[in-house]
Amino acid sequence: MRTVQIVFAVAGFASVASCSFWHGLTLSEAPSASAEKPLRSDIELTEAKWTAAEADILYILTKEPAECLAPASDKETQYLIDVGRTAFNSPFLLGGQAARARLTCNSCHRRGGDNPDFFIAGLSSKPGTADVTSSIFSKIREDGEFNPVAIPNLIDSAAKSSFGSHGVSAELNAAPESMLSLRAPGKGSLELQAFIASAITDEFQGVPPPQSVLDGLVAYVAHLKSDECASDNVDRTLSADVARIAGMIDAAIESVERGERDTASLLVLTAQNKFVDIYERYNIDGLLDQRNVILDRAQQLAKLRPKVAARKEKIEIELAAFLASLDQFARYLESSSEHSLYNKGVLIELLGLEETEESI
Amino acid sequence: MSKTGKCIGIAAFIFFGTAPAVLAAPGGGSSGAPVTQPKQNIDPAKSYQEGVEALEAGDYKKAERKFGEVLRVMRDMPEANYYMGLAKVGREKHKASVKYFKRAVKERPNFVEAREQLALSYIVLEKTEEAAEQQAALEELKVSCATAECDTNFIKRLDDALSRIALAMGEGIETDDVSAAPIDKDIFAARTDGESRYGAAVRLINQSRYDEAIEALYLAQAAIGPHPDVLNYLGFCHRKLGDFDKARGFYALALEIDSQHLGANEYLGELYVETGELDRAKRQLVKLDALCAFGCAEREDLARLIEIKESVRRAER
Repeated sequence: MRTVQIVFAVAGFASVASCSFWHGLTLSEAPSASAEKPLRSDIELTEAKWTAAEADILYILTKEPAECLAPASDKETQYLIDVGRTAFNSPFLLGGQAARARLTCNSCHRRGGDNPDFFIAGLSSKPGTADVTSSIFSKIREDGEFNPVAIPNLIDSAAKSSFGSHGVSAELNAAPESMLSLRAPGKGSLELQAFIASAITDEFQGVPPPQSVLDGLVAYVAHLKSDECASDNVDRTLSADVARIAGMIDAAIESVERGERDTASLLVLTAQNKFVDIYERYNIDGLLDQRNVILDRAQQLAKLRPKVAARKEKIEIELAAFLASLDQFARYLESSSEHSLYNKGVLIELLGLEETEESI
Repeated sequence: MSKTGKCIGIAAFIFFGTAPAVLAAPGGGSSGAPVTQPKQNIDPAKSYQEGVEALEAGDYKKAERKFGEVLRVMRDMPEANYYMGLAKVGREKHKASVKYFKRAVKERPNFVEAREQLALSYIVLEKTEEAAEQQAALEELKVSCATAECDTNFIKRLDDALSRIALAMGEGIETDDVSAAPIDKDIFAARTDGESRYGAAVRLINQSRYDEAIEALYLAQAAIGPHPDVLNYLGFCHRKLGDFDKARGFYALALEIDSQHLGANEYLGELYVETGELDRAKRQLVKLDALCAFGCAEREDLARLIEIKESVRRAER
């Protein structure tokens, strides 16, 4: 028998898969860790998730832009602003891939501004940009091109009559008619509402939110004004995070009292979710008790939510009791915050970060 | 005996040159879910990567071990069976290789490279009739390309495979002619390529182009190995195409690898809603409640769907 050259077939993959720039919403690590497990070996801070590699991570984790929020003129507007601020920070407002990736409005528009450090491979061409016409998030706006645009600053939007890359007319045409009724109209509000409504349902495949949530988002964004900024940035602290949760619960209580149960439900769910920000900061060795307390608080809200949705009698009293207990919760955690990732020194040590001029 | 020009190249496979109907779900059966015990300490995607690396390095023994780990979780994965077959060939275990190549072509009848290797192993084993069967199957694939849409690369692969089989049948080969040859590194798709393919699949899914998404997901899986994200979306696509049994099989595989996978738990729940198994759907919701201590979109979407289904049922009464 003669020997012959045996060549095992060599074939390249065909080019059906044409998207070659996807590394942003990457495959999850398997198996995933449960919330109950300590994640010391896998420290992850959601706030740093969509950040360009070259960004100053330490700065991002220790400082945040100041919220340039103008005071409300009346109680009704204050309520809407509180609802809108919560929705703006809610991963449950958006749908599809964005919701599953835990993206919020605030991920791109930090405290309503832009986000020059935002980066998702496959959606961003450079930091601070995103392709808002990609089917990764929604088929509605897919244009078949990789064309990221700069993330717009929403501050001073009340004075604008055009938003986003499409301009106001496209947004107005795209927004469902039922979403275009304003409770607190003002200059530019209809255009702003169309922009926000279209972003939620078209850009990010979310379900249309309750009307008061949409009105709230409009009110919140319309009250973001550059001349209200006392400083460029503020420290990122535990007390600020707890205060945010308290604000959400406070708004939820008022929603319950107004009989807006869908809105209240979203607010309570978002508050429940915001405990993860604190949890992540305590997700290091020696802070297991603290993590369990944080988890317990989140679970308490999870149990209250069905009662909110079912309009259970006196649920607002239970929410108020929860709200009142947050002071004690904050004091308990504050006593160990120096060992947590709220402490810049711990961040530097555990994440191997370097102090920069900006972060000092 | 001369030993000239031995060259083992490992094929990165293309499996969608013909009709997508050949993309059979692993496990099969009416229930769809293969019944195997969870393999707690094995990450099959990692084992798959290590197996490919071992194959590249010519460490066939390690490759056997690693693909064995993969196949313990996903017995019918065509790529893993193909690679396992190559590892066996690398160790001159031609008889043992047959089982794996056969599994690969059973799961994916248009898997050209697996058919070729099966034929070559039969030739080494002097089973010419069986080798001829594989040759005929490849010929048949080529004929089907006359009516179906086959890309030129697929046709070239068929032609190359047929020529090599014909050559081997005509001239004969010996067992040690296929061992210990270098493997071309360029033909392995990197994990990052797999992630690109996964991204492409997500885009296709969002455009409701499920058949194409399945192809992209298989491409991703060939590069990455069995990964719960990929398996979950394979389940999703098959569900959207109405094939609930296949969908169940993929969800079961995803959950076998990662029982806490949020997407697979959600989508399995959605499948139960669609098949009217509301009690099971609610059990998935309870599971997601436990997994999502801080709330998650997966839990919310399933809850919404269950609520809609229940309200429809109430209205029908």
